[in-house]
Amino acid sequence: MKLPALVSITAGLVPALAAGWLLFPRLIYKTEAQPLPFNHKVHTEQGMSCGDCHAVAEDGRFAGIPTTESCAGCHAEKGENPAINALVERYVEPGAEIPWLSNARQPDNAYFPHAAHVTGEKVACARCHGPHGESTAVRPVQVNRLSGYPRDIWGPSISRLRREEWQGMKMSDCIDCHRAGGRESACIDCHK
Amino acid sequence: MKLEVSRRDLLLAGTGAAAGIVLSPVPWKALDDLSIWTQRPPTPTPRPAGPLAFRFTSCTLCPAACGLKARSFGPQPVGFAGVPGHPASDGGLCPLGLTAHHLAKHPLRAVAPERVSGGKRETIDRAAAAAALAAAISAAAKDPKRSLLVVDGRPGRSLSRTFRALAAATNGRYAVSGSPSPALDALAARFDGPLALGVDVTKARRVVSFGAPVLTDAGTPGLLARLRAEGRRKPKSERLEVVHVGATRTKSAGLADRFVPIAPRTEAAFALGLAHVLLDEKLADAAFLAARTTGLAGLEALAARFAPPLVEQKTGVPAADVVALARDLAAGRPAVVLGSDPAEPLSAEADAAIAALNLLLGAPSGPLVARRAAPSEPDGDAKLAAVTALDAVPERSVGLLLLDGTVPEGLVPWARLEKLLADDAVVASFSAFRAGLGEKATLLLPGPAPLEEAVELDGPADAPLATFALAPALLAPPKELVLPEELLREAASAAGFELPPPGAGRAAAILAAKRGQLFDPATATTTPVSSLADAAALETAFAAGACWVDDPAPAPSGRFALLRDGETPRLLETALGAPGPEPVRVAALPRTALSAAPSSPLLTKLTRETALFPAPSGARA
Repeated sequence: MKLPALVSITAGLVPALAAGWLLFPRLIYKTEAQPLPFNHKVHTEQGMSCGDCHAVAEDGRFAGIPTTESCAGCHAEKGENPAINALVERYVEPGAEIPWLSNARQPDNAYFPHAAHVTGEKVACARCHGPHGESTAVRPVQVNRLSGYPRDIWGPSISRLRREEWQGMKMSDCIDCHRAGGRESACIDCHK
Repeated sequence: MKLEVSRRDLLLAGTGAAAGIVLSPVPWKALDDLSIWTQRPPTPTPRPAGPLAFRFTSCTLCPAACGLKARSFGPQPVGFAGVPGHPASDGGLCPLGLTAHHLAKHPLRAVAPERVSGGKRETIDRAAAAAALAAAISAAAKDPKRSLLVVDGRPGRSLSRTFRALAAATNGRYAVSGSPSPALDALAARFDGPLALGVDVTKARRVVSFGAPVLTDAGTPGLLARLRAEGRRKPKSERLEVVHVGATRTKSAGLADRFVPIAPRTEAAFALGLAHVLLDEKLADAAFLAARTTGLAGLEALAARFAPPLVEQKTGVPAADVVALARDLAAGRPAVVLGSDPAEPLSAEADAAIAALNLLLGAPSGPLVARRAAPSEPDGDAKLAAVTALDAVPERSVGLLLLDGTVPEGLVPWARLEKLLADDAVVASFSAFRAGLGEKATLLLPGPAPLEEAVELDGPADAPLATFALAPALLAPPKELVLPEELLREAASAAGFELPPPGAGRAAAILAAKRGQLFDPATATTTPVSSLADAAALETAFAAGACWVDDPAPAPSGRFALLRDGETPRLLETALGAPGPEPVRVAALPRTALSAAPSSPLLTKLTRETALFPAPSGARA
């Protein structure tokens, strides 16, 4: 008995679609673990804001990932929490910096000034980075094997269909937000 | 029932799989990721460390000498912005200047001396480099048929004085790279006394460019574009308009309000055609012509031969357009006509015709202003060679060509230098890069990269006011680097020539002249030089990035000759001759033709292929 043409086509189409939509996203990203566990929610429940650790300095610099010194301000000694003990043993006491991995590192050919957005325009951090403050565990970083940049730039959905505004930080996302705010920009504003 | 899988079924399944791949994210996601991968820089960006500080200097890459505000972490500058209010640039900065701090780490950077022998490039030590240079100097001094030629890209420095002393001691020649504005020089040369002219585009309503890239590379970066943008808020009759006349639609031509395409090498005919209409319809500035010029009858007789129909025949521009442009220039005064692209100069006759056109429009009483040069230290008793024009150097007469590291190949093409070289001539270059003319050197003696040394920096020669800065260094040079001045003196001494000691310096000369203002980039304020206590105070200010700007020069009272002796036959021959061949232009980066340094590999593709400048008003403080 001969196979109907539709069956033959489907036999090739379905595995290819499955491989493309399900397997490919797993292959294109590799997962790298963070050096320490971290609970954002515990800290925000204490009344801390994003800027307390991820500060934009008065001179406009984005301090970015917090230094060990800022952690040691509260966690200089060991206690009962194993994560805090690991922090103190491995980084605070030796005076070493924590090699946190960034989920939001933009490609080198893009210039993004945090000061202009956060300090100048009062854009909330969560608008681009999502509600990290509510997370109880710091996410491992998924790094794109081809481009070398983290997955948060593309967004969690391989289709780029976003359910939330913060899901994705590609150029088109920047442009959408600027256009929505009536702020047209020139290419050289970001690509110096 | 047995299923039979035929070759047809496999082909159909393959087609389905191909369709499935196309409908999956694989192709476009991989393409996107690969495109980002291609934009990753070839060298890792050094991670800056140290306290944040802002330092000031001036850009040394091209003659514009723009003010630079450097954002630094510790000793490492990480970003530049223009300096609003700066006398040379008023906040403007081009893409090359924005990335000047990358150049010290450029892949083509050379630190150790190199010698090309048998077609192979080899690294040599300092002693061998000095010995090779000394031998070449000695040989050039002994044989007048294989003499020394020094080409200086930035005259007026201490190093320039040493170059001139060496040329004088060895009976060699000293030349400088070309003038940025030969058409202005041609106009100044027709004044009945010494005169230098600058262009103040803020005073103009019409700017006509005969090929000069006024909206991209020439003049202060972004200034003309800003003036035009500001003019859009004014009534149309008051707006600044830029007209580009040329054989090639350059980027600047594309940005101009009007582009008038003409046949190659017919600039003189076109300028005389405009002069014809201005004189014929009595649209020229009669008061200026009567009070400030001579030789009107001669020009009238010459221009009478260039009626619009003939100009149309020569240039390809419709006669009606020639008439309309001339009428518009007369109605849109103050107007100024600027010369050519420095990298592609016009003929002397075209410059003469443009000069006459400027006089008919009365430009020297408007946008063209008299200016003085910045004070320079006197030659004193030192025996220094005078400047020789490169065209005056006989072919195959140079045994040692000494190239300063600031000579841009765009202004001094290698082909022009190569024909001056005798057989087996030594080409020594102080360029910091194996690029441009540095690549042509048989003896590369690398000097400091941009921002690695303090540089005596004169502003553009066609600016309305002279400026000068002792642009302080922002980067530490490599330890093994030998300064050109040191190496030159060492080699000259080894060859038996004692060069005069360095002079007192430009700061002392400026203080002695007691004129001009000192601009402080940190506060955007100016202080009269006459109020400074001593040379030390001036040098301290320069070390902090200050810029000296001259006071306006008094208006000259003499007359301009509309035509010089013997000029009419040459003008007729050039303007009535057959059009030249189509010029070949190489697409250039913004300002690369004016810079001896290569562009940063970190400049984005976008910036490489466009001429975008941050507007002065947008310069970040």
